[in-house]
Amino acid sequence: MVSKFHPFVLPFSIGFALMLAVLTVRYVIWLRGLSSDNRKRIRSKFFTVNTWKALVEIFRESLVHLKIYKVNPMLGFMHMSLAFGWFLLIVGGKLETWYYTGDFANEMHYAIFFRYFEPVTSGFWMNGVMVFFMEFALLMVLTGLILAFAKRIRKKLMGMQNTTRHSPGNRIALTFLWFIFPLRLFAESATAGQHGGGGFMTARIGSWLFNSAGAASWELPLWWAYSISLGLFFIALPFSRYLHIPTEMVLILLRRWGIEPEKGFNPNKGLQAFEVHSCSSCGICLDACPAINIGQEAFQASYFVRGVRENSEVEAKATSCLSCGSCTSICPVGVDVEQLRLDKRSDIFSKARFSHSYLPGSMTLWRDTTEVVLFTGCMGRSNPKTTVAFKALLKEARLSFVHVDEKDGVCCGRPMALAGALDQSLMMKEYNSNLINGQNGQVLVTTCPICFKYFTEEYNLNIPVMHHSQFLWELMKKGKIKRDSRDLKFAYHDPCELGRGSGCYEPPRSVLAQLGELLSVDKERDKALCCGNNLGSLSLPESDRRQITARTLAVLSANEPDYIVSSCPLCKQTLARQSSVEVKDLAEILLETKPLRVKVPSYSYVHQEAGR
Amino acid sequence: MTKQKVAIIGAGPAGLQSAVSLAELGYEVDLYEKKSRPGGHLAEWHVLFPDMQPAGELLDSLMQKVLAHPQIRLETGVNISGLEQAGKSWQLIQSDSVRGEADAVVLASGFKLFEASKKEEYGHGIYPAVISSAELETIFIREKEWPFEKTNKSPKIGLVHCVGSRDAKCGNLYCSKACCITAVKQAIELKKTFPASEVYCFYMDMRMFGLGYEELYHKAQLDYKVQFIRGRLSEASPSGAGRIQVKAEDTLMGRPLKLTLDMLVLMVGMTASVSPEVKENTVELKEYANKGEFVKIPGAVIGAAQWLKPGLFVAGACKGPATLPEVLNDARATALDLRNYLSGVL
Amino acid sequence: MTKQYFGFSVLEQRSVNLDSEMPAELESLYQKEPSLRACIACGNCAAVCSAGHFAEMQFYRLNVMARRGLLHEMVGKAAACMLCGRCQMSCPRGVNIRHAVLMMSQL
Repeated sequence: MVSKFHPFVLPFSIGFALMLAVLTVRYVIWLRGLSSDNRKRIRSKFFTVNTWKALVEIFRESLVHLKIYKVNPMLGFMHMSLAFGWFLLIVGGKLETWYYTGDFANEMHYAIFFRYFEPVTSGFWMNGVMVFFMEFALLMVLTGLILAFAKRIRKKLMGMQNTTRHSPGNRIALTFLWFIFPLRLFAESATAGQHGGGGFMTARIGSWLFNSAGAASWELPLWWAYSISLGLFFIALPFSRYLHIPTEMVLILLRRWGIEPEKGFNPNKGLQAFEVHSCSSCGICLDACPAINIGQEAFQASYFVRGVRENSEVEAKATSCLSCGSCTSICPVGVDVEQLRLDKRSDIFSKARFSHSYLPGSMTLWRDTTEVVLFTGCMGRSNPKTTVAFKALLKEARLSFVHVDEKDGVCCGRPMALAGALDQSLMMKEYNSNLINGQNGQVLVTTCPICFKYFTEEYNLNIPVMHHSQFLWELMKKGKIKRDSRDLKFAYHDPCELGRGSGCYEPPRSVLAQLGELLSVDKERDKALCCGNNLGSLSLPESDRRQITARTLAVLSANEPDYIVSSCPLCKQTLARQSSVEVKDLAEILLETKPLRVKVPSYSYVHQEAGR
Repeated sequence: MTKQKVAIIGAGPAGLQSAVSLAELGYEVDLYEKKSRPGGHLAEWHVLFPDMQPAGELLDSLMQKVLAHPQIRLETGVNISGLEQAGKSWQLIQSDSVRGEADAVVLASGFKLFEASKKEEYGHGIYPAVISSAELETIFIREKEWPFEKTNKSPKIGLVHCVGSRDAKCGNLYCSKACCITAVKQAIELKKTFPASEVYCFYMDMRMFGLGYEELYHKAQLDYKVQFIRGRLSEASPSGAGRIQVKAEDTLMGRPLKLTLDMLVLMVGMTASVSPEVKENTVELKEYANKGEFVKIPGAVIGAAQWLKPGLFVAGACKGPATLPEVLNDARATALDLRNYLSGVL
Repeated sequence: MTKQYFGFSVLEQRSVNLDSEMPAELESLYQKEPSLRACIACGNCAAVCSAGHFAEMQFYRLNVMARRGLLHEMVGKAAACMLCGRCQMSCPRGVNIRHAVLMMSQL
């Protein structure tokens, strides 16, 4: 083992050792928080292909940052330059010393400050390839640095409208980080200027700036400064957002080993701790948030997660958010912010007690088979047009149906779950399950995406569940409802619970495409904006909601549609109140575009119907 | 010296009264109306509260004065979309061309009725038995058919106050002022038409502030046996044979209430019709759907001139919900302000 | 201390006594959900209430009880709520009812 030493390496060595110590302590605490089941999972998956897959993912996401690249190429390039460049420097440094000394086990500082100890090297591999490689990696990091700097000054250059406002501690850590690489460049250049050697950057800068005898006194201070900035950054790392660098890698491993999140809100234990500390505050979630820059509270995922890490003002951030899912869907690290927020809400309202024991036992009477069991949900009551239209369409398709919550209805339970009180919805679930299962139906169709998501995910029904947009598209495909295309332009609004929540984007679009022209919308599908009234939001003030609605409407009406169409009673009601373009449910549009020759009574039929 | 000229935009009660007052003060008046006939909402109104005087009589007397006055020129079917200041005078723009010029302008564009179908849960536009208060007026005037069987001489009728007013969800926090008393008036008219009917008013608060209003409310209770229920409706649902079932909370009883009705009348509030966008030398008169704001006159309470800019006056319900006497008085007051302005006092 | 008498007497248990100190929990309730102050007890929330079909669930009354400091009367009465949010969607005063009920149900 080659041992070379100079006191200037001490700040780095001490900083690095401290970082390792703190990281070890924190990770051990977090890992100890894993349930015994999860520990078993690690043991059984450790020596499997999953570990290899995790390493590949670490390479793709932690180093090359492919997901960020897909969302925002410039930002991806910046992150890639910084992370992958630094990685190449570390790996290259190791290879360099290994090859140079013929000994793999060198001291760490020897590799980091290699050019101080060995300014001039010779031979094709050492002098040609390695030097070039190391300089190239440094150039890569510096490029990333310039972009990061540009992003600080003008975020629009990097294609971002909003960037995270960092806390003071994080700003200090950022400053250390920014100093590291320019200092390395100048330290190596100074050495090259004085002693010869160096690569395409350092040799040149060395001969320009550090060639003179006077510049000799610059060399050591620069290496000191480089070492100090490294050391300080490493000390700051476990206490700042840069903790995400090592943590994300562990998180990827844990996920690949099939670790399941522990129940409840506990950001300093188990998988949740790793998730929370894997957020780099990159700010991609900010531009995706429909509530960005609205209201007093900055509750966007990036701020919420930071609040959780620092345990400051988490409550308001957890209850204001709309839970529309935009941030979770776009997060390059895959932090499940939605779940984290729900866990926090459960924590806030842990003492909330609801009891629905007053619900009558549902009697299951014998019934004839009915084709469709219709459930319109609580919000459906405020949208009679949708219900009436959908029933008329069922008649047009000659289907028998029973509307199970026509007179009175019990909430599906999803709003309770969105408030973090999942376990309090059991009696409602039981009531609705008995009600639906007892209908002798063939399919349950609901006009409400909130109910749809909950029926699909949390209920165990004896018939399949469909959202009415899916069902209507099936009827059109089967030719049971026929329409000609008309000279109408539609803008479709994706309800959060149906789109991002349930992955249903195409059926409503397919229906509309048959009826007229479906306009493209600036933010749609998984990037769609929330209407402003997602039930996930608890404490967001009315005035803020209205601003969100106005913003969403502006995006929807940009291409001058004849109608804004949605397929959620909550979205429709919210949008309709503020829109200058008419807002309709998919079922209404489909009913109103029926050709005159099809003899089906329109809205007025319910009157005769209800009398029977 | 030629007479100074004033242009008035809108020939509803505010515009007509302004025209009369200004002409009587000696000005030439150009009165522009967007619709094909003057009168505004007054032309669609049956009788006036609280004296039950036919609305047509008031409109006729105003129109007679307007038509008889040689200095008033009324033009209908003219949509003034903007104003341009040219020196001290104003040019009136109709779709990019200059329609007229005046030394001062009175904006009297009135209000728009809240679209009842926006409160979808009440079923307007879905169930024929659900009508708006304005539609009830037209039934009274034109003796149009009732939305229930002709043979039904004892219909059960509900009137819902505050539809689109005092409702943050509709974006209208204000009280439309005239609906409470309109409901009382219409309830009485309904009882006069169908003495055997049952009439229920669903209110949040009874706002009987005007002269003679409280007395009319009293009369409705005593002489016409109208029932007043303090509570909001949740929704209207079909109940067979064209009838409507409503669910409400009776807040005085603290219990839910159910009622089957032959007709449900929604007391629609007032919303802004034209929102002027004031720039340096131009004023755009924008008609917003669903998001307009009433014209704000800063300092109106402490008696500031009723103008947006020197020479551009605003009269009537385009400044906010107002009752007819208020509108007529406001038109007279604006005419005085305008005279002071043109004679250099203001 | 001299007892204050009015010209009439009301049973102590029946009267709402606004001279008594308000419970501290109420202050925090209104601080966390300021929109509660905007309620005018119009009854819309109760009219549209999904739980109200089956049980006594009248949010506006809970809020009146809270305002009068009658915490003991309010406790337990929010438990019937299903949190469906229909009341909040139609509240004419823009009260965040779900949030308020969640907090009330913890008292």
